Amino acid sequence: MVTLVLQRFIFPLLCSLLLFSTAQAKTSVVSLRVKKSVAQWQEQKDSYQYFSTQKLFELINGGAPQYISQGLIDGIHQQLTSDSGKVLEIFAEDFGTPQHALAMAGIKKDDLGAASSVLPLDSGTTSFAVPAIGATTVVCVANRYYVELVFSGFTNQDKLIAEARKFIAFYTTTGSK
Amino acid sequence: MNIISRRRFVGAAASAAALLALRNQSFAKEEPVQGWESRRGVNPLIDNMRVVCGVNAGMITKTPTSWEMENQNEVISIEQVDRTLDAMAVSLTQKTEPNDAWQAIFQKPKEKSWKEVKVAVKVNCNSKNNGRLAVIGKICRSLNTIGVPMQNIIIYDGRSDAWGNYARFVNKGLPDGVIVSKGNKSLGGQTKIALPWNKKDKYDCTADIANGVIDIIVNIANNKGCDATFGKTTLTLKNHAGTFNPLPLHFGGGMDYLLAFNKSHAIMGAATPRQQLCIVDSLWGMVKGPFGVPEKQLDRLVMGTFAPSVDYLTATKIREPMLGASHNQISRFLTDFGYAENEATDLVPVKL
Repeated sequence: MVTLVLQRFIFPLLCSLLLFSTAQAKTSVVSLRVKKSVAQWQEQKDSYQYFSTQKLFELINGGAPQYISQGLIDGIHQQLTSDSGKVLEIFAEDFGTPQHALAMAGIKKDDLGAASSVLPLDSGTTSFAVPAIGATTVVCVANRYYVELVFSGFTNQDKLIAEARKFIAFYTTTGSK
Repeated sequence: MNIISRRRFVGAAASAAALLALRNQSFAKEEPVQGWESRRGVNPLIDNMRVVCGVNAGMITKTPTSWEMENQNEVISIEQVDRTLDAMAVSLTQKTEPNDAWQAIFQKPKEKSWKEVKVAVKVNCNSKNNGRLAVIGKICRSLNTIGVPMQNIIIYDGRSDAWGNYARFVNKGLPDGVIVSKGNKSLGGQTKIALPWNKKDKYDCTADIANGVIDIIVNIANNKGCDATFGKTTLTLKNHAGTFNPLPLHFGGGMDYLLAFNKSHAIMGAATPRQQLCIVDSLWGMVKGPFGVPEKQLDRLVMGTFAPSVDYLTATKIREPMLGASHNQISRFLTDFGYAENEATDLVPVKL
């Protein structure tokens, strides 16, 4: 009788819950994919990738443990180009909770800040920019999502920050849904 | 008509199977696993611990505005890179003329002419700070001057794929005729080989490197960091995580796996060591990595014949003092190959 209940009801229910939760996690992070919602940037052909933790090891071949130890669940990678030839590479990642996403941002701030100056982009710690040679990394946290944006091709830092704010607004809105 | 009983059939089949097994055992070629022997010299003319460093601020003409391949290469002076690498080859070999120096660096199998020699150039295509065209181009031209046809030179990264980065630059920055492999495609795909490590398993490796079709490997890495489990460097040793499957590095293998594939028969070869030249394109440097963009312009190229000493000295003499990077376990780069840390004393500065 117990076996029958397990076979007929409990096992299918657990499978459904598992499938639902996996699908939901994937759906959540893919909603952060920038399409044409942020003006003047186009996704480069074949640049979009959804990745799990294992796939992250393949994608960046080093550096992944730092993200995974902070609770990374999954993420997406995109490369965008602007009409004027500027390039933006994005990693948008689901860390499960806002605390984990903020902790990852803190680590990244320390890492990048060790070699360069950090420009806060808000009054808190949820978004900042770190200029380097030929590129500026912008990090923002929106709810449970941690987003890393690497802008390159800009000669004017103010214009870069203005563009970064558009993306931060997009992630803040989309990530809160 | 003879009718074979079931018992006789089983007996005959068992005997045949046993004979077949014996035959296979007798004729199976023993697969070499380890190419490295402790303190083996890569080149009889060059000490394994001799690592030269060319410093030339003229190699970078201005700050790149972006790290796309076009942008990071358009700011490089090909002439200055040529001049620096020639001087480095002279210093490495202690010859007086660059042509003699390049000739002394590369060794071919005795049974082959230079026209028959095949060369694989391993580049690092992970993320955006990649081997500069001027450096790769100079190596191709130096090999060609010795007699290696351009079409026998294959540029590859089996993991991050060289094709997307380099194919469009053949005859536009890279010499006409060189082959840029899509993944491992131009190198026979992948095969599984044993390593001098966890001997119960076999590991994916670029096929033509594993099976000896390639005679010479030139390893061109960049100056990047990496995970703590294998020393926090992405230099020439870690570069072969694009010749071998990198995943075991991240799932328990760490430094043991990294050093094992660098001691393998595939990389070190048998009669003639396959990997004969290791370069760290250190024009810019990154503390972390391999993903991301450089934090500092370093204006340096580093070159030696032996990857462990090239990496150890790049880490301790450039990354630590100039980038403020920290490392761990890197003494194993030397000790696991039979050397003491104090045998790799310093980078040899190259006069231009």
